[in-house]
Amino acid sequence: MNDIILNIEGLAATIDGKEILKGIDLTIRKGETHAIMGPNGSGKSTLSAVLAGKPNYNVTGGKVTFMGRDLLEMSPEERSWAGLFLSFQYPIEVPGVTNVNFMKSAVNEHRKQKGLPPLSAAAFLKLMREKMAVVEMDSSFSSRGVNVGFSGGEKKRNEIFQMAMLEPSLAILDETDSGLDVDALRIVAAGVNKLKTPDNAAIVITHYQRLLDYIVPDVVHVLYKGRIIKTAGKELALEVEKKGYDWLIHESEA
Amino acid sequence: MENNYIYVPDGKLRNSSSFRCRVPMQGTLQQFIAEGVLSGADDSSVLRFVEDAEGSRKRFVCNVPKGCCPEEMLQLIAIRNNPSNPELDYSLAVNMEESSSASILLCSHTMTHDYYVTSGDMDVALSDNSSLNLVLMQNEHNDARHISRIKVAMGRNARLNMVLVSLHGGDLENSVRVDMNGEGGECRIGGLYLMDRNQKYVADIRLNHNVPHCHSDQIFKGILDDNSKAGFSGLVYVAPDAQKTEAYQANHNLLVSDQAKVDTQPQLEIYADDVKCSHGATIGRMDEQSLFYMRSRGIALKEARILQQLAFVHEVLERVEKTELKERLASLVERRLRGEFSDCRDCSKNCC
Ligand SMILES: Nc1ncnc2c1ncn2[C@@H]1O[C@H](COP(=O)(O)OP(=O)(O)O)[C@@H](O)[C@H]1O
Ligand SMILES: [Mg+2]
Repeated sequence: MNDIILNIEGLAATIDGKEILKGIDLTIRKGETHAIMGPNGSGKSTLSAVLAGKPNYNVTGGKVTFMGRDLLEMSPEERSWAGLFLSFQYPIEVPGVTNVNFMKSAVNEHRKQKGLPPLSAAAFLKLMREKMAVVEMDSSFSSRGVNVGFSGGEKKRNEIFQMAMLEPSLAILDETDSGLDVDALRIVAAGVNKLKTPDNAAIVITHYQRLLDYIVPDVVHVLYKGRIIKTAGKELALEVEKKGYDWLIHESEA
Repeated sequence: MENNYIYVPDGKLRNSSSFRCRVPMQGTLQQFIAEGVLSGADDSSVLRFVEDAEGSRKRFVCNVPKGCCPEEMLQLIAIRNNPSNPELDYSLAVNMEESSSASILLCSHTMTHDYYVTSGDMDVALSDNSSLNLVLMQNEHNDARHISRIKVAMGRNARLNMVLVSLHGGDLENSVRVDMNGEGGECRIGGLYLMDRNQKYVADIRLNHNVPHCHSDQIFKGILDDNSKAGFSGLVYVAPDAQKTEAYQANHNLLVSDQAKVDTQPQLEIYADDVKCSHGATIGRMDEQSLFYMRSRGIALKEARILQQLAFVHEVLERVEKTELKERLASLVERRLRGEFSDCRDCSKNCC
């Protein structure tokens, strides 16, 4: 089926010999938003990192197809060019590289891969201004080192700004809501919603219903000890909010 | 020989005055020392080097008179192009009289891939209330050796902002000794070295706070690739009565190959008690986390590595005060890191 963006079958992965992902199956189609919930240490960030191609993560089993291609064969930059985007749970600081230069390199590299010429300085700045507005980011952030001295909330906004610049087919938002106050949460969530189209998809990793009030998921998964132990509709998130994970864990172990 | 900036009519050096530069920076006076022979700049300019023989040794002196603050920068371009006499020795002196200020850029280039040994002393005297911006740019071939011994004496409220940019060279040795002899002096030294292949670099810095109330701030940063080697030894000395001294020294190295080696020894020798001093040295490798972050945004690994190296050296280049010079140096550094120098048979293109 050509509306499948991401297909994961039996994905298993280890870090330093420790098994973290123990067989994940997940299919994401165009237009869908999936939420992944689960207690700390379940492997949510590990799954994101494996999908984004972080070195030192050892895939020991399974298959991942992204936009019809074998994702696990691709380098992190190739995955980005193919339309994958990870909003990091802990965005990295890159001192000495300004936000402008960082994004210019990224955008122009994407354009090069599509056979397009680099954007002119004026066109680039216009695009940058437009996309910063999506997350109500002050223009003074352009000339600052990437994430250097940014507050937790500013880092998360910067992630969504980068996403807006790159227009991915699949965005994985790893706890984008953590560390955000109510206003920032609303802005970031509104930003994500503005970027949503019938042709792209999102995976939203979160602990809290409050983000899902804004970004309404089609499907909710609960990940526990490296396995998806429950998949249901958006009502599952409300149930988890009320009752926690214990009942699901008991159910799955029964 | 095809040259962008410096060329010799008829492709051959007949006399030194045939050198000139096609793209000088705005507001810059240029002089050349080709194989020890001085040329360029007319007699009317205040800011210039003149020959002042010292026995048999070649010596060039630039004297900036009392209260004189020329706006132009003086660029002295030292060129080696005659491999039949590989050894060359000459000395330079800069004498800043009271309340004068100036900007001087010294570039050294070898024009061929032959073996050269250039050695030179440079004496800098900063009288009370004088100020000097001094930039040294070294861009020589792999078989060239260059030894620079720089001595600086600073008077009351004198200010020195020195930046040493060692872009390329087979074997570069920079020794700097600064004596802060008058209260209120300020001395900033920035050093940048980019080494690859079998290149060697040594910096030997001695900064003496001989009197109270002086401020010094040194930062040396190096990127080492392939089998290159660097050594940094820096000593900050604070005399017993040099109270209220502020002295900072740092040396940071980025190793981008497994074979490159660095030996770094920053030292403080403090005999006064009311001072603020710090020193530090690091030897690091590429930051894998930030490389992955950049790659996850579609910046290819090779480019991500270059961005990280540019970010690393940024802080040193920022110390160059003249904007146009800073930009030229930054673009040279970028081309150097992108490996564009080695493609180019003619290094003389790569000058400020
Ligand atoms: N770099 C690492 N090295 C070793 N163990 C790790 C590393 N990263 C994560 N882990 C372990 O993997 C498990 C899953 O972590 P993580 O994917 O961060 O969970 P989550 O995002 O669901 O909180 C945890 O037990 C954690 O300690
Ligand atoms: Mg996590």
